[in-house]
Amino acid sequence: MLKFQVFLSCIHIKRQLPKNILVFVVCAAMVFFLCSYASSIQSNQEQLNSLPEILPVSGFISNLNGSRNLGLLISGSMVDSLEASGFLKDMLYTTRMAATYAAKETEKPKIVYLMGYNTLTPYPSIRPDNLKDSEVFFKGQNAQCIASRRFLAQYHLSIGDPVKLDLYWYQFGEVPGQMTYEHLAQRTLIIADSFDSSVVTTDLIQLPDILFPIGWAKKTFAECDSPFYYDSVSFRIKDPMKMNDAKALMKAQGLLSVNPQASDSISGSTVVINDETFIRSATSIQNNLTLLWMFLPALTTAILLASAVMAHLMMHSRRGEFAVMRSLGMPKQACLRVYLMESMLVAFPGGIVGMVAALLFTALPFSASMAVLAVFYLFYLLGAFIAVRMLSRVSVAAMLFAVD
Amino acid sequence: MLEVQNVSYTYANRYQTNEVLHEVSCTFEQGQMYAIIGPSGSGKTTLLSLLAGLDLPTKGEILVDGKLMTSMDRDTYRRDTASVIYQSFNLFPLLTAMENVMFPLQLRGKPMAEAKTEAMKCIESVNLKESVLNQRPQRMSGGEQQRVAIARALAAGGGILLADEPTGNLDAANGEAVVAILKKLAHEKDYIVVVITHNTSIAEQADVVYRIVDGRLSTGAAE
Repeated sequence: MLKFQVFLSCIHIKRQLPKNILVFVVCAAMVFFLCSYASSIQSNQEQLNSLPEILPVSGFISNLNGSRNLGLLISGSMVDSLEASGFLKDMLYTTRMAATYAAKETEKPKIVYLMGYNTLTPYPSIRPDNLKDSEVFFKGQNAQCIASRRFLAQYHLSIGDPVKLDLYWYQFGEVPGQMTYEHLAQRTLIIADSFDSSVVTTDLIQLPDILFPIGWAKKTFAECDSPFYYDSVSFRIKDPMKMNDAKALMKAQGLLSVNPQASDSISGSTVVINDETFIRSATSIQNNLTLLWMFLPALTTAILLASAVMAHLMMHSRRGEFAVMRSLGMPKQACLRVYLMESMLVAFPGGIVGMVAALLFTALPFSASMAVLAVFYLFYLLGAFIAVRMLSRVSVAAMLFAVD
Repeated sequence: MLEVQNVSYTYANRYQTNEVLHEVSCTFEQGQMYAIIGPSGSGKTTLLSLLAGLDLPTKGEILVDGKLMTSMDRDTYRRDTASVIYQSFNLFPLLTAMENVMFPLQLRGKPMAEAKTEAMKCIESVNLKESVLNQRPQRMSGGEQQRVAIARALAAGGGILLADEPTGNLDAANGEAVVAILKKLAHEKDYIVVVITHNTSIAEQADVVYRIVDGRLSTGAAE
């Protein structure tokens, strides 16, 4: 019996080839369209997810009118809180100090400028001569330093020599050229390496003679019970999608927005975040995604309903045939199986062709394409099943006999 | 033998009920051709559909060779015992004449070759031209289609042939030829042939004529 049903299904498909080709193409097109739509959502989502990598959001601390981002007084405790919050990454900070140094006790001490870093990576022009891993050096707290070749030559010093310094912390004043010095402590640093200060081309206000790890400076300030201030702080937002949270935290820490009308100051009280490009791009992608998601239910429902209706109509037009089959004694289930088989033999390959086309022409992964195909089949089967149920309720006698 | 015992049939829907057959009793025996006549809406076709096992009576019983139809598998009854031919032929539009005739045979599980041989015999007995065997119904004349329908009924081979206005869509010559085939089936092949017709000349050729008026059956000559 099954062989006969398969034979009937095949012969029906063959004899209605144009109609079945149309159904095949429509099924393929529906699956392809659904896959393309899903692919579009996925690619937008991926773009949005990768946006923080492509367009990192950076920021820095400036004075209130935004005219300075170096030579500031930036509270160390405030920066530590920001860093601990987890909203920021790749933090770069500097601090500056001055010292007096005399190679011999009999000589008059001279002013030496020192700069503390937590990393040298963003300053490619400052390169230690020998140190392989300056990252480790600058992350540490050891009483070591990297001295400029000029400094070494001037004082006839070599790598490994100690440098005994009278340390001061200082700040530039409101008036250009004005500086404030305050004695801090006497410390000895060991020269770990040298660098060529003649190629330093950064916008440092004063070329340093000595570079030291910022951790050592913080420790020294703590030992002297003096508040620690950074000279400059810049950072990246760890997750720009949570930028508002990061901004709220900064606001809670007392950081303000730039006010160009404000007078000049050296207080690092303001945060500047370069997020315009990111926000513009993210908003555009987010708008696309919102639109795509908004239309998805309606579009999917329309397509899936269309597939169900198509399956239904394909069978509905065969009610007369169904009645004849029943009148010849073919069991109801066998008749319905013929129609279901016929319907599936056309729609299933159509769906697969649509999926393969989607795999070739869109970036949708195989698993997602399979999911789309499964949903399509489910609805097509549902339509076919409803049609079959309706067929099974047809009064065979009413279909076959002319009105008496 | 087909026995109809006090059969009533009522169509009912949400709004009304309509008794189409009222306590109809009659008997149909092998080797006889019966005509059922009556005005439109009198219940002739309803009686035929009950005889064909397409529906069950609301009241009363139909017995097939002494067995209650209600106790039988009606799919099997239609497949193996009773065949119907229709005014509008009701052939499978997607199958050729040969495939239409082979259908009941294949449904009974006959292999293709055997079904083809048997179908050929049925086709020959209704004088169908060989040229139409591979044609689909829409390319055949009405007479040819009705011959295919009769051949298909013969292929089912159950001994009961029920015909609903079999000449209704045919010209006179084809109509006469179809009636001749039906008579031959009854008289030579021992079929029970039941023909529903408005045509008095067909009724005159039947061995027994039943008249239905308003769902009530009476025996009598054709008018």
